[in-house]
Amino acid sequence: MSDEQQTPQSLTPSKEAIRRLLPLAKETFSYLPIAFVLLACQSLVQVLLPQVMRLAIDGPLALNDELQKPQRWNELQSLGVLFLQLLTVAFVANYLSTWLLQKFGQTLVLNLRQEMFKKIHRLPISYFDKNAVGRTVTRVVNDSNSISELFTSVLAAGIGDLLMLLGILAILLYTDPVLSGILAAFCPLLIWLVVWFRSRSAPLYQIQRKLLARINAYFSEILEGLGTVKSFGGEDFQKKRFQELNSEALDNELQLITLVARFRPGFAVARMAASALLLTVGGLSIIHGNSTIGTLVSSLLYIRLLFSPLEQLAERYNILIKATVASERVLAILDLEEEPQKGTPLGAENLTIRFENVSYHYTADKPVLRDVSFSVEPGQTVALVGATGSGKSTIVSLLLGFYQLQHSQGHQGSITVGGHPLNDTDLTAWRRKLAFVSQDLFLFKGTIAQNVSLYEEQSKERTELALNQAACSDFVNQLPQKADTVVGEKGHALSTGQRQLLSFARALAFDPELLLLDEATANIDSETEAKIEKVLDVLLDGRQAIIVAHRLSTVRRANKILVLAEGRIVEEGTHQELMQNGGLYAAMVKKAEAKNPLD
Amino acid sequence: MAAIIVSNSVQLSTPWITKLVIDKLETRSIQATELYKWGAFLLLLTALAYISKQIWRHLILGAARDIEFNLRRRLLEKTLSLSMTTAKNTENGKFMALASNDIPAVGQALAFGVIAFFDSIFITSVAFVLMYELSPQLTGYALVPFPILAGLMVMSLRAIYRRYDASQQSLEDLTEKTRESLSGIRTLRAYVQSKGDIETFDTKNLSYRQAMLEYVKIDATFAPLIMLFAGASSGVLLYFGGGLVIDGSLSVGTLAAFVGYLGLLTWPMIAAGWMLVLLQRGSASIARLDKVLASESERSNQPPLEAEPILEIKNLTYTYQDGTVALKDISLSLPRGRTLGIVGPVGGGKTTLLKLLQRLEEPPADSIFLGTKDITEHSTESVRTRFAYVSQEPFLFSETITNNLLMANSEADKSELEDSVHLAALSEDLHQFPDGLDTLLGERGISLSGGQRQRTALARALLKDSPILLLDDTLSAVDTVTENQILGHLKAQQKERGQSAIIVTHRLSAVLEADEIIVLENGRIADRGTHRELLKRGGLYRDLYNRQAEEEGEETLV
Repeated sequence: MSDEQQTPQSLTPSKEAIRRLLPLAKETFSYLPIAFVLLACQSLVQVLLPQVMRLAIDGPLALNDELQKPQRWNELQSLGVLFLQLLTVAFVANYLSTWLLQKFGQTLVLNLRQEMFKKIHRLPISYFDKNAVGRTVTRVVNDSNSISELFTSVLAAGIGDLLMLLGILAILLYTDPVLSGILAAFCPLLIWLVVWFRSRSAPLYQIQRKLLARINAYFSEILEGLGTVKSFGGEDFQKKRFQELNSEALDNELQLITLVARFRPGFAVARMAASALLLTVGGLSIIHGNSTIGTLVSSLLYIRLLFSPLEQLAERYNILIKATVASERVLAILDLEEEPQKGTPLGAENLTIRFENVSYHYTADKPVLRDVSFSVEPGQTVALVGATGSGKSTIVSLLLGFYQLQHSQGHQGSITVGGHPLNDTDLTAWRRKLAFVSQDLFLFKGTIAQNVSLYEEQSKERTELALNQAACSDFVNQLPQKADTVVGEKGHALSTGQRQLLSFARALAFDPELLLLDEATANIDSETEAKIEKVLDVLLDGRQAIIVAHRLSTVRRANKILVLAEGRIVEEGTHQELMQNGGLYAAMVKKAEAKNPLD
Repeated sequence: MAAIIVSNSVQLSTPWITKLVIDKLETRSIQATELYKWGAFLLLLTALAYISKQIWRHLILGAARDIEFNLRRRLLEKTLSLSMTTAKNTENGKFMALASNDIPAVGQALAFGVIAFFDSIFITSVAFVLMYELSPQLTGYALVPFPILAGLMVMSLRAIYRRYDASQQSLEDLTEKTRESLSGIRTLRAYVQSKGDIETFDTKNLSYRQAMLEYVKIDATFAPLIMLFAGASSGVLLYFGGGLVIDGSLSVGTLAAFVGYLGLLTWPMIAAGWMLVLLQRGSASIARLDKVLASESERSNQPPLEAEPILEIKNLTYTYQDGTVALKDISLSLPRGRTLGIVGPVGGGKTTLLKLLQRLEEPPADSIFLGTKDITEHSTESVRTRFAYVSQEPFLFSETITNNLLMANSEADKSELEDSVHLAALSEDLHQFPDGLDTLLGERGISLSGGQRQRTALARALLKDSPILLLDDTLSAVDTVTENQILGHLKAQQKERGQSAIIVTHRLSAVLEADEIIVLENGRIADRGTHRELLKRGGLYRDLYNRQAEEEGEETLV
């Protein structure tokens, strides 16, 4: 929960965040200067339009008898044409700049998402142990979207508005210093309003994002566990659980609304007050002959121009905060320490695996492995045996490089492969040499064949051969589209035994030098069991293998059995040796046999 | 409503006052004191506007959030009521996208849509009346561009809807892909498949940007278009109104007031445009929500079941959607307090049978009875309370262990919790967990081993205290010593509470003492009887038994 409480350092994206995010849109950088010129163009036009009005009112429309009607008409006509020309320019500039900036923003997000996804593929597995899938999905998909809005809505509009503001002040200063003074006088009030709103709303917006992520994670999980909820009649319990989360979100929204409801009208009111003042003061100076009606009318128009961007400030600010929070979270992911990517690539040398005095823990107070030493020679099969929690799976995870021995964390000993410390080895190259068969097979949405070859380009023959060797052909051929049947989360359901066999097919298709097998526990019928036995013959033939074993038959195949208890290797040897020793292993076997006596 | 009227009336009165003042200024018929009076009056109106505006914004925005809140609740309720078949066919990412994107889109549409709607209607109509009052002729001129604008907007709405829907669809795909990759990350990592996975992601990522840009193409025209037309109408005003001024039939003050009113109209116009866009987006989202909300639910209007927990299955035949026969002609009965063992090869239909009993999959009518009542005619909840089910691969929530257990029986007290934990032989493990029963599980907490998961799930089932226990190979990852211990506990409890049990297993040791054992093969009962009878008769059961015996004496060493 710790990330629920953290608050970002600042309320706007840090310079560093911008510096790091901007380059992601490199290929569209050339859009920016064009967009800015267009924005400037558009702002200038907006500033000029009221001036055309002023010229008209003070010129052809003024109450003075010197000008003849036709002459007035002519002047009015040319001003009207000018007005329309300016409008057209503004329209084109406006559309093009929006389009360019959107494309810029979308490109940035495209690349950002790609970066994040790549990063995810480089994060250590421990990250995934700790972080809910739904939450990370929110980071990759939703947070990055918020960042694009930063560039399209906030940045573009902000620059446009700023240019317009400067233009208006300049022109007012030129035409009527007094009126511009009045407008300037409103600035402190407006700044105060903005600052007030900012400080009050920031925490609420942050909470909003966090709650969204939690709601997301909730929906992700509930669908996965739907069967369980139903069979336990846990619907009401879940509703209650969600209600708490949902109410929290609503409360937060309502607080935000209260705030916005005070803030937005505040601006509208400031605008009206400014109009009132302007009318009074402007009127006075007209009475005194210091100003003209045209100036007054155009100034009133300027007020609208000045305030409308300010009124949208709340929305923009919302986007800004969202983007700030999002960019911090996104960068936090991008900054996470990665699995070591570089290292000595392993050559064709032998892959003798050696654990030397390895002590390992996930959390400091709970050792998982204590002083474990063993070695596995090429071609050798080693079985790990022991109760749940004795550290068998950890050994496999360490070998996969999912976790690393870090002496700085208090881990001890070393793991070497062919004499190279595993920590310094190129993990990718290392993993290419091995195949990992986990207790339960993760199926991707795709065909059976795709699930065997994964993204690797493998010939159809090779995949078929693997399916064949893994004794999958029987059930695969019964499926509607054979190996092209779509399986995976929402595809055709496979039984546990079928998944087992399929996971062997996957391993076989990758033809590994080393097999890491976390043997499935006894979910399997004897029929399939027999098949598995045969497939194991093929899999283990001539291969180095480490097996987290649950079946005696598997253990018997091993050249060496390591018996683990509470993280220690308590016995080591072949089946015969261990049986003769009469230690823990022998006791386990005896107990097992006694329970189910042979007739 | 009243608040809207007050605040908008105040806004609308400003140009009128402006006109009065300017006309007097033009003819120099105004004194400084009168100017002050008007100024003060405007300020007063301002204060009034502030208060009323605050109120109505609050009300409308609040209502919109309420709707969001309710939609989310309904989405959850819907999710919970989905039939398992529908749920199986629904991708997880879809619900996430609905909750995180579509529901806020609907809320936004409502909040701003409603504000814009009232604002537009009120301001537009009143401004129109006031303008007409000032000069009917000029009103006509000034409003010429508006119908054209409206026409253009309406024409683009279809496209907006379609393109927005497409972009959301694409987002859903992207979400689902990301979710899948995260779930399968360990496999991808172990098999060094990142590159291919990233490429797949890139394709979806790219098509999402494409869809977004298609949408933006139209969306980006809206604001400039409105600006253009609002501007054009000012231009028209300047030209024709100017003409009227020159002719002497219009005062400059009126012209200024018109400019002011047009300015006021710009916001409703932008708002209307916005509203149309948001409503299109909102309705695209609503349509997507509807699709989910309308998807098939379980029947919920059936009467609750009141019957003895005596299970009777008569000639049950069940076929999967794809036409595969899962179960054929199954008949059996399970009197109170008895134990039924089910064994047989993978894919024999064992798990399906257990699911049908609980109507997690819908059985055909007239085949499964509880105390002579057909379960398909009674509410699913009441049927499910009769069974406590532990599945092969139990699902635990990322919650505390307590909350995972309480789901089965939210009224259970501490001692009942501890009892069930003890029965499932989980007590010792709990002592090792950082916070005992309050230890957080799953992605934010600790991860349990396979055996611990199974035993936690078993504890959950035991807490439910249902008359019939369904164990689907529940102890497969539990070591033999613990298994024996648990089986002993279960037997004692069964006796004490008169519970019956169906035990599906691959380890024959778990059913040796069952009152009846059936052998399911290819969806049929291949054989049935007690352990002794079956063994004597030979066939599949004895084969199984011999194989297990000869293989290892006992398959598990753990």
